[in-house]
Amino acid sequence: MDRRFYGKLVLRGKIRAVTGLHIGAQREISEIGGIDNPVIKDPHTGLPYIPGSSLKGRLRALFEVLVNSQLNNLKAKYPSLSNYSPGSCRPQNQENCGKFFNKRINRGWIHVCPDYNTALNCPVCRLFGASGNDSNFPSRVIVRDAFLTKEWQDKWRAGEPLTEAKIEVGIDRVTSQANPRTNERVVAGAEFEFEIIYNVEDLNQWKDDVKNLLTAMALLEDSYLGGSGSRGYGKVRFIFEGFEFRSAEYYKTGDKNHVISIKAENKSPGEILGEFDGLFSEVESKLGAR
Amino acid sequence: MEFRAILLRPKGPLTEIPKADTLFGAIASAVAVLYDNKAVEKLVDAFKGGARISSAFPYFNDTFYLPKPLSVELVDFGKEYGEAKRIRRAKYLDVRNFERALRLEPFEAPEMNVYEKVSIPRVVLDRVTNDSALYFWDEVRFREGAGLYFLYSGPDDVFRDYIEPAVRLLGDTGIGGKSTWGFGLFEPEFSKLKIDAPDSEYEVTLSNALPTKKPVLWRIFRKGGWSFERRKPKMTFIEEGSVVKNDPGRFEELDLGLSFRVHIYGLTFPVPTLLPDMEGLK
Repeated sequence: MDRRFYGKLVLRGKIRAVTGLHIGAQREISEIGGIDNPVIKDPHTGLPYIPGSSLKGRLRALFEVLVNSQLNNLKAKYPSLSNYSPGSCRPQNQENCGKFFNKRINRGWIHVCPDYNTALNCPVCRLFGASGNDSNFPSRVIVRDAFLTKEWQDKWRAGEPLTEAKIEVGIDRVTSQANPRTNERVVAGAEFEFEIIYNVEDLNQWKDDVKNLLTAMALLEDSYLGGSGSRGYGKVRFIFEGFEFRSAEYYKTGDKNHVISIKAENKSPGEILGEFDGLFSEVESKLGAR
Repeated sequence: MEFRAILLRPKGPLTEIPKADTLFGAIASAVAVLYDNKAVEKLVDAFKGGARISSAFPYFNDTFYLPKPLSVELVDFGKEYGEAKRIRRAKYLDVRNFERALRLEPFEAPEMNVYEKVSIPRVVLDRVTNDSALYFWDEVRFREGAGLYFLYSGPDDVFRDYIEPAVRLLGDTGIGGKSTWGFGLFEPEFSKLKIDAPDSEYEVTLSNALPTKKPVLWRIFRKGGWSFERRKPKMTFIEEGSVVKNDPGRFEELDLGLSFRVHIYGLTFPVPTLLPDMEGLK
């Protein structure tokens, strides 16, 4: 076991809610005529935000399903995947039964490698981390809470609503009796600032990891974030601003000359993947990656 | 007395407000990442030789808060009942009132609303069936303009060579739990803070500490935790605000079966304070 540190790659940009976005909060008080399902908001400002845990969890979930689908093709590249066959241990109700979705967390079954060395050779766990039974593998990715952009905070201060109460109706199939409920959701068009930090710990793996991360982001654009996605909620777009590579030297000295800034304004994760080698050539020569 | 103040402008929530032993552990880990384990030993030696850090305390804009010295709880300032209760319950005082409290002069307790502890729901989704499992996570959120800071006292080169680089790295790594969800990330800022303290042989500690002798006034708490997947035994610390007399505190060295020894920070961060003239106290 070994762990190294070469620097941090900071990915920055905006998340635009293309359709209404609902990331639910705990309902503390039921008011008559109140909203049944409020969205999560900062307790001080009252402004909605996207928790880092929601974003990271969704990226991981989508990427796990992708890896599960391509398990046999990926075994040569990622040795740990040879331990798994596609599917979930849920029917057997036993963790690590040999299927890919192998760990139970309450009622959900997800993929987590059981120790450090297996996680190191798994595309999911070496990126998103694994809390194994024998040893952990620390996540190489940090996903920060995404707060509203300044522009949207100003709109809110100017009186523009940031959330809407959407009334939905369940209709009894026989009697046609209506059963209405209200969902709160962040209005379409709202923009949040995202920041994802990737730790460069392995010179042979960083490019692959970052490509996998961008793939997960591209998958999310064609899936949904938050609840009620199959009813059209939660379509999001990532609009990149750029990247910053902060080398270990920068942290030691504070000298900004050891930071590489890469502009990628208004690009999507798919476009970045397409231009990956060109965009990251300077980081690659700095790291001397193989 | 003038100290270096390290401001941590939060970029998201924290799991809890870090105490000095947590901060030291985070700094030592960052030093190990940036340099090596030998550098950690040098850092520990520097602290054994007199360098100190305090626990983290909140700030709001230009107002810095410090823990209320326990000594004032023995003084009857004769306030109205409501006010006396508020003063007794206050955990933090701003610097000016902290200085008054050190001199046992009447002081005010601030109405603080700079951070809030909230319980946030989290969901695990089954990858196949999307069955959800709900659980809750507590977090500390700061209002705009508010954050945390801690104090450093000691040689400049130790600060330049270890503390500053470590804090820069920790800003992008996170302090405390759940950093991969963005907890504990911050923008660092390096500043200074003056505290006007009286002459006294008694001292209030601004760090949680492991005393080497019986403190003068103290409140204790037990704290364990984890270090590199090994559980640390629970240890008894005295809280910030406790009063000691000529006690530097101590490091506790633990052998957790790792390739290195784990140093638990328990040094005091002393600021002189007066003590009320009570029988048996001095």
